Amino acid sequence: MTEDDSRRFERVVREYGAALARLAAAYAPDRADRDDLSQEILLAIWRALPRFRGESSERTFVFRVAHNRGITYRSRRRRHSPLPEEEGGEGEVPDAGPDPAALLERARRHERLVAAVGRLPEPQRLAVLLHLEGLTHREIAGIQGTTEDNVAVRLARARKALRLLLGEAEP
Amino acid sequence: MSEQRDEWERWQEDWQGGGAVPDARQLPARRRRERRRMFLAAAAETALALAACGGIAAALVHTPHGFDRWWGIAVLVMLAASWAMATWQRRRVDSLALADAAESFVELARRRCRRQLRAVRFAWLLAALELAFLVPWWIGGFRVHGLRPEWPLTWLAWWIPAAAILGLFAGTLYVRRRVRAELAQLDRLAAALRADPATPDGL
Repeated sequence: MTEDDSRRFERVVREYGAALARLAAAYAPDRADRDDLSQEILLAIWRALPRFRGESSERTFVFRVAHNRGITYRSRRRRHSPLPEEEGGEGEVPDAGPDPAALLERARRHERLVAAVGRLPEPQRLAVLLHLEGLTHREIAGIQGTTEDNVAVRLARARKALRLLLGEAEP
Repeated sequence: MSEQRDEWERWQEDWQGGGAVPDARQLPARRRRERRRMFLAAAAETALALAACGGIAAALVHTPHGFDRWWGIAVLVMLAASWAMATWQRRRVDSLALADAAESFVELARRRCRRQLRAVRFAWLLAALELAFLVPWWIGGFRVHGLRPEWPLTWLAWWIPAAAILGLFAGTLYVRRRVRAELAQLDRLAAALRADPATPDGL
């Protein structure tokens, strides 16, 4: 890896690190696995980045590598561990907003959403993860290797499923 | 329509409210660990191949019959070739395809699994051929040379090759179980990814 590649990698981690951690959370059920998968994803990106020649946007490239690493990780686990239980606000607390109660509430909502997304069928989960990160239908289609129409259908189905799953989780 | 957008926006906000940037400082240690693991795996594989080849080579030196000798040489060549192929394949890790779209990545991963399963079957065939060559030689050798189990020659000619074949069998059984489970998962995923959008894909 050249000096330029190292700098590019550092920038990628700064720019997409949090998104990659969220993505890992949706693939790996418990906290230790999440950290492990986050590191695996970073390692995969570190290796793949020197081969990136701009065939797609950098964001698409990074998310492709991350998702494919997530797929490999999940398919190599013989039995999926149970999804995270409601953790009463023990999730990673974001460093924004002064009100601790609001922060806890936000972390709790995030954890519930992670658990719900983790229960979606794989193609829907892939689409939803990317949509939640703000990627366009075209970018999602490029990452999944499908059409924009197909992405729209998956997202529509996922929305219904998420409503149901989040509704179930209501106290 | 706007209700849908509001819902997604709310979820996006909830989603992006979590996730800490992973600590990239752990990467060098992880890379070192991975290199060490790969080195150990390669060393174990090489030791296994050398032991299996050594057993046959030792037997060949003492084999008087032409047919047995050709059989032994053929097994030896196949063993060496399969070891070289395994080494070459390990270098072609699937990280090359990591930047592909999910659908083609999954297809490549399934192909890799099927290739590994074929390699396992080939290893079993080799082990059977090697045993078919060695067992008569072992029985005859013990009788002719009056070998005792603890002698160094017995270790070289019998215990080590036998342990190598047993190790190969145990190792390939484990690999086969792991790869079959992975392939089943990937098959399900490939089917879901291929599914026509008009048909339900899970929920």
